[in-house]
Amino acid sequence: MTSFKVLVKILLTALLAYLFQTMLPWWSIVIASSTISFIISTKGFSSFVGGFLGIGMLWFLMATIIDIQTDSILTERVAGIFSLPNNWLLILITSIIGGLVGGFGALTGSYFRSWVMPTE
Amino acid sequence: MKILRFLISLFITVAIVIALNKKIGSIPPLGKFLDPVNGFWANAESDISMPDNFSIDGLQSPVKILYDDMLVPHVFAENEDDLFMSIGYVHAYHRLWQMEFQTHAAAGRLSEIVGDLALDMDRGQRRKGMVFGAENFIKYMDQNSLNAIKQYAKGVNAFIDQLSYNTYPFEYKLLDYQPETWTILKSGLLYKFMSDMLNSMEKDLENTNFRSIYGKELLDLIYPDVDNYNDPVVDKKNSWDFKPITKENSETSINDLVAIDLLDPPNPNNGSNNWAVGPSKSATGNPILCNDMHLSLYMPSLWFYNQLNCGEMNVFGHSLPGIPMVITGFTDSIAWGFTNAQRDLVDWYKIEYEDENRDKYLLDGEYIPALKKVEEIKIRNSETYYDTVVYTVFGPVTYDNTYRSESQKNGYARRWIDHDASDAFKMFYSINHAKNFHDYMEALDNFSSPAQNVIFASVQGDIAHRVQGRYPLNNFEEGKFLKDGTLSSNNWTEYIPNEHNAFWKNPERGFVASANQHPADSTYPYYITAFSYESYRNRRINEVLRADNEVTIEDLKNLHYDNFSLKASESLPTMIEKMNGQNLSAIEMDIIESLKKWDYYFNKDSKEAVYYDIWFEKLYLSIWDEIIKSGDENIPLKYPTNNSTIRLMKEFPNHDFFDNKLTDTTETVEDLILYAFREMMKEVAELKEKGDFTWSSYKSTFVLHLLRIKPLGYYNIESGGSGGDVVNATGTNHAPSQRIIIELDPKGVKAWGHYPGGQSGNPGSKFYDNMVEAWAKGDYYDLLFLTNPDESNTRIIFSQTLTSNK
Repeated sequence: MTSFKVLVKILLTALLAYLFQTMLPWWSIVIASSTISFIISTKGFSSFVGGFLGIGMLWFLMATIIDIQTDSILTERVAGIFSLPNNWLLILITSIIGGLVGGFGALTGSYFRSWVMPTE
Repeated sequence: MKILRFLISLFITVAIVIALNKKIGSIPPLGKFLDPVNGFWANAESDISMPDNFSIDGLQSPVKILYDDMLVPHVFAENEDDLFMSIGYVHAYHRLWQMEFQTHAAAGRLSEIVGDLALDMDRGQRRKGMVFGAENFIKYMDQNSLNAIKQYAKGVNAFIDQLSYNTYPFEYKLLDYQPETWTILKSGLLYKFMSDMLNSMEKDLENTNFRSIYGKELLDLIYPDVDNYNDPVVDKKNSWDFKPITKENSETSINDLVAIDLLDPPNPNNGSNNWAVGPSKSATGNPILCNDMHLSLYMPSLWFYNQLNCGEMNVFGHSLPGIPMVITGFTDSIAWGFTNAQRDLVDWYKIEYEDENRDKYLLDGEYIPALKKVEEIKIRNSETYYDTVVYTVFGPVTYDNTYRSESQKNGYARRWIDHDASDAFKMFYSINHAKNFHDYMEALDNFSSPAQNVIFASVQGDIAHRVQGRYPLNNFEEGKFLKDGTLSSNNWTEYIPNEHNAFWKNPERGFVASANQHPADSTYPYYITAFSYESYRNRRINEVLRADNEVTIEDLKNLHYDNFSLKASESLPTMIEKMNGQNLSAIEMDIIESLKKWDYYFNKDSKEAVYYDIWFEKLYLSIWDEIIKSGDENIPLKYPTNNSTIRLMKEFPNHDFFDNKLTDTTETVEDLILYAFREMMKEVAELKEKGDFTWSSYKSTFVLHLLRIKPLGYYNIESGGSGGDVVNATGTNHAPSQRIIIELDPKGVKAWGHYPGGQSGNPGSKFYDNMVEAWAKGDYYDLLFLTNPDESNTRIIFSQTLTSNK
């Protein structure tokens, strides 16, 4: 049950974050992950994982699609600027950065829920 | 407890977001930058992602823009206002970041973007009078040009106004800043940016120092006004049919040692080739015009191809993004091109301040108040710097006790032709409309700077060359040294009339050509001096064109890529000869033998080119060691030309300059040649250790991104040629910044060309650097020239319509 819940959270977080991001700055991913985590209750660690994977996977997928569609033209240059040995590492770093922010956002949302709805 | 847990988590989240939203050192704000929706990923382009339609407030009629397969826009407008507005939008769309960065550089504002590491350079730009010149340029501009840059600014701003972080050009995201509003002054600044590269080469202070240290006789020997070889741009011996003007005043120069840490001069190799063959020499009977301009290579490229069409005007060529007109190219009837005229158009005046406060300076016997201008230099992440610059009757004081000079009571004021108002844009505006020789001449009457050898060819069969600029009238040797700034009579008073500038049309030899050499033969009745005139490319071009009476396009492509070094052919035999009798090892003998067999071509696979190049460089540095040393001690001297060096070596082998003063013995040219040879052998041994080498791998040509960030540039380009002295002037980072060949066929003008970059300024576009390989190899693109917007052409890959939203 918990793993199903986490899966739903991951998908919903990714979806909401994508919607927010088309209109708002990048940090709107925090709003997405914390909101989803607030609505669907899970334990702290599961919340973090949900947010981390939701945003991390969203960013991973989008970066990968762009990378493939554009023959890595800009990925390669930016990887070079950051002295990274290959393009995948840049995509990975992108995903982890997004994931971290999403994860902490989700954690915050989940802790907010257990503070304001202590009955659970 | 639960609230605490929540607050800690909230705090961490906010802290991470803030940290990732902020630029730290040279690392961009990682969250913002790596965001795949709005960050740098959004700048990666799979194909053409331009909008089909775009609206610009104020357009009178719809404008159609057809893009061909090189991403060259062909802009069709119904009137000029619409055309210039559209071209503003087009330039901004592809090159906004570069336009702003270059104009910031010109205006001394780079510190705003990169922080205090640019402060010294920014101060220099302002103290040279770059902004002063740009303001004068705009202030006195003719109505047509002023209107053009106003419309252009509207187009640029229409693009800027709809940008959001998501659509910012890549470099804004990398450096984390925002574009600002484009102004008409910026068009002027960009023009001064070019003028500074081309029109501020001089050596007045260095000449003054050299004369003081070594005397006038040696100065004349080492830095002659005219080369021992003179194959000038215009050669009309004894047929200059005008009476030269004269002036009342004669100038007084100063014998002095000027101890200043001078600002970096423009690259001395900045120059160009151009030539045009007339009907009598052309295989098809149509005139053909060629041009290639040698500059430091940058990404995004300086140049942008575009076609501008409205009503009477139909012009194609290279623009400088930031300026609405076509700078060089062709209309449906004529073609024109440039090489730099090299002339000395900067003078320096020694100012006597009353005291170190710089409030008053001595002029014609009395201390008069100095005009002071406070320059506000904003610095990223630091406090604003205020620099007070003194303006004299001659111009701004560049160097004084507040900048690069120790002298308490003296300042050095700079007088530059580009401080003055100029009708240069009127020239471009007019020549973009030109139909024939008469129009070309009339257009050029407005052209004052940067002084250029302006070449011309037309479908009517005319060819011409005009050494056009606004040249101060100088008596013999005036303008060559630091001038006395206490006398107003030392200022420039008169200028050589346009109709006295060196010029010829349809010369008997059937072609016109220039490569930055001396403008005119020895019977030209005015005194001329320059930083230096070119000695080798010009003679080689003339030699090839003289010998060819059936010139084809193929011949001219070959001439663009001609790797023969006249310099090597005129120096290497002497260098080898002077090695006679030296005790050489077997390996050394092998190198000498291979050099003896060398044909003097700087082909990309040549090894001999490497041997010669290093040998000559080491020799050069060992001959002029005194000059290098003096520079180290802050008494700047100028490096003599290669030609002067070779002449000294051949004609004055026992000259004192060959003696190394640090040794007890007296060295001769033979000693230095041997020394340089052995130094070369050492370097070659090091090269061999690293693997095989060729001229191309040794030279290692590259295009540098404006921010000097390596992954944004283009490196290890395979190419022959050599900077400065070879017609194919492809050096390491200085080379032909474009090449164009234009055939003036009355049935339709045809053109071929390329430049080392691409039409897009976006490092995430395949059009960012797609022309580099063709440029290196010698492949030319057919440049598409359309006659109407409805023409069906298979090369058109995208069409865009601009409309007004009102």
